[in-house]
Amino acid sequence: MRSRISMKSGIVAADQFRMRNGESHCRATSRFWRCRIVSGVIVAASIMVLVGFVLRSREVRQFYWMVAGWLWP
Amino acid sequence: MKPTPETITWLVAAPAIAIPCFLALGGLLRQRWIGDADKPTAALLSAVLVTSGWIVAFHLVGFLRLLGLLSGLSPALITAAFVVILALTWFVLAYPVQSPTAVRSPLATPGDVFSASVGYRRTSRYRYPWSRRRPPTETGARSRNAWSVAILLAPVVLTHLILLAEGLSRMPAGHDGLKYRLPLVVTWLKADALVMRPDTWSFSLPANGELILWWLLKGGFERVAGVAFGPASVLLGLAVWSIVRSLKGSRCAAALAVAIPLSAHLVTFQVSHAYVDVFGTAFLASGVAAFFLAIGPERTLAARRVLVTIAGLAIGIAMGTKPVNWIYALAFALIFFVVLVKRNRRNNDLAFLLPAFILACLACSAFWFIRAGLLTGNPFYPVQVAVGDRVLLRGIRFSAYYEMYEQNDGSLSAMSQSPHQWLATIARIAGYAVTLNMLSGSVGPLFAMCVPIGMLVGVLMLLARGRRATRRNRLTIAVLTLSSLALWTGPLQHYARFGIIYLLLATCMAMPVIGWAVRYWPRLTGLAFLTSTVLACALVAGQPARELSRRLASGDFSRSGFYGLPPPVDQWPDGTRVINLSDWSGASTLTYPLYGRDLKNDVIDYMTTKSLFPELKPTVEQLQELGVDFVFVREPFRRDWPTDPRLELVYDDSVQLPPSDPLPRSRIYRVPPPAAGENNGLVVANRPN
Repeated sequence: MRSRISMKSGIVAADQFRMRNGESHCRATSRFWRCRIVSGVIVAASIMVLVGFVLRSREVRQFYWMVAGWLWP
Repeated sequence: MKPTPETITWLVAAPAIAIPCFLALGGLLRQRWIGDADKPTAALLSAVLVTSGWIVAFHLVGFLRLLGLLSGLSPALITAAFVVILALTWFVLAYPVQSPTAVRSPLATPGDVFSASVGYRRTSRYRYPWSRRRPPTETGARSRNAWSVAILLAPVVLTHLILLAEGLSRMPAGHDGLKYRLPLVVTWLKADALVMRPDTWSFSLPANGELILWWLLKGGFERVAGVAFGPASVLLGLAVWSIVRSLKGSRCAAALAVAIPLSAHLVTFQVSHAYVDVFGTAFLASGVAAFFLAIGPERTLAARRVLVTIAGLAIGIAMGTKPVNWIYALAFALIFFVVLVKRNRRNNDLAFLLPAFILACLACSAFWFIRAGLLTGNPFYPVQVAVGDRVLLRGIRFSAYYEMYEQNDGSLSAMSQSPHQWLATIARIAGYAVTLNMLSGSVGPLFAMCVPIGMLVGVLMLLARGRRATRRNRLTIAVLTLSSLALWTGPLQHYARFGIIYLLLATCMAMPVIGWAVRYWPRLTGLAFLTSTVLACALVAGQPARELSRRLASGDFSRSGFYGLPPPVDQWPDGTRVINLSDWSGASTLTYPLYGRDLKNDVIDYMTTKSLFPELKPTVEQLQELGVDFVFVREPFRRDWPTDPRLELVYDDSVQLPPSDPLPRSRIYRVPPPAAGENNGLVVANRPN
């Protein structure tokens, strides 16, 4: 059930929180959105690192050249 | 190299003790003590048992050989004794694994024991009365999780299969392996004993990893020896999985945690190269995983005792692999015993656990300490033990070896001497923590995108919890991670290969946070992590795949072809003594290749050569005194070479190879036989044969 939280709308997911933890609806909704925002920041930072790696990494550039040389010797 | 009766003893001894350990103890462990553990954890603990049995067997025979107790006995008798031990252990230990309700046979069959060991019950008859039933789970969520895990790990498995195939298509490689690890194994092969050469520090190290190379080379599997440490990466993955699951991480988080080290170049490079860092680190991590299982609140006293003993065996294997692991082992053991005492104030069972842990550690490592103590007077040889300037036990001061490295990189101690540089030092340590002091591709994009931010948020969450955090495993993993970072950046001089355990622990520490983030953004994170895994795997598998395709296209899988050696090296008669006088940066890596096909030549290793002749200009008389038959040199040739006109050029690649061939040119010179009665006093210490 926990793995399906993001598949539902915020209200329904917050109700799931409420059921699990015995919290009020208002408190559960605020907790859900707080968690979603914090996890969103973590995910966004991770994706930015990945994009930076793809664009700037020397290893990736070397890999592109290796594949190019392999396909077109 | 033909197997002698002594060789057969060695070959039989290890499986005779290790196989019952794996099958019987592994089965008991799974069925009686940790019935709630998942299959990867059970496989991890069984793997630790089998390896420790293997190593203890070698140490046992090594002790008997060291004490001279085996010399008077017939090898056939010793072999028979080991076979009897195997049979008895099998029947005594395997019996309880079988269900009392089974009616087929009074004793367990191999199939029964094997199926129990790996955690499968083949039929409904095999319901063990002591095994715990798992609570029913949501099958839909489980199957979705299983698919996520499979999709995430598929590129990693494919990468490792490519690395394995590439490693099997050639002979052993790797700088340290060719320079001294494999030559050490050949020295053991020629002496048929675990000999030590105190004159050269690299031939005096503890060498649990090399025991596996030795076993393979004894059996004639030289090609397999190149990937001998490949299974260590599987063990490493199992350990990471187990730790993350102990921290209540989801299966997806555990799979991601497994993918991070197994797609990092720092680790994958050692899958097909003869380095022992991943081997030792995998057992360190297995010890940590066993400890996390042991300190779980649901463990019974008996289960805790077994798990702490297994942790001791794993850490003992790591200690007997490399001196670098001694310092980690000490720190981890202290941390875990503090946690154990803190959590179980009344019934911590330390009177049993502490001696059991220490004895288990010593079972897999004491041989090397006793051997060094007997031969040099310093059980920790080649490591020098000193307090300040006062040397307690003589050995090598390893910090001297890093001086050149430090000059390029800047040591932390030098940086921190002036107070205003503390901030810069902290920033530098943070940089090491993120990159492991390597190029970005070496730890891989997955590590870079998940671990630093996961660690940061994890630490903040622990701080927010305050005193309540002391009850959680996440605090324990944070302390372990930060202490390993401190040890790696401090005493171990932030040398990247020595920090693999930090990479693993940091990954485990970050994963619960990342797993939590995945729950809120499953599709986005799934796509990003899968992209990153594929990219990381492509970066590490690209070059080996290219090498493999080249080798398949050329059809040249020969030893001399891979090492680029001239044909005479493989054709010399047994025991021909060769010295390598090449003068280039990688010349030391020719030591192992020069042993030739079937390892029948007698090579003076490059470190001994450099210590005898720092200028690499021996006279013919000195070469004759060493018993050298041939001198090998590879370009770039020195201008003043050969230094003595009496050296006869018998082979020159410049004549044999076409000018278009890109191979570096080699030459071989014959040393004229000595005149009777000459002696210049040069001796190579402890040369076998």
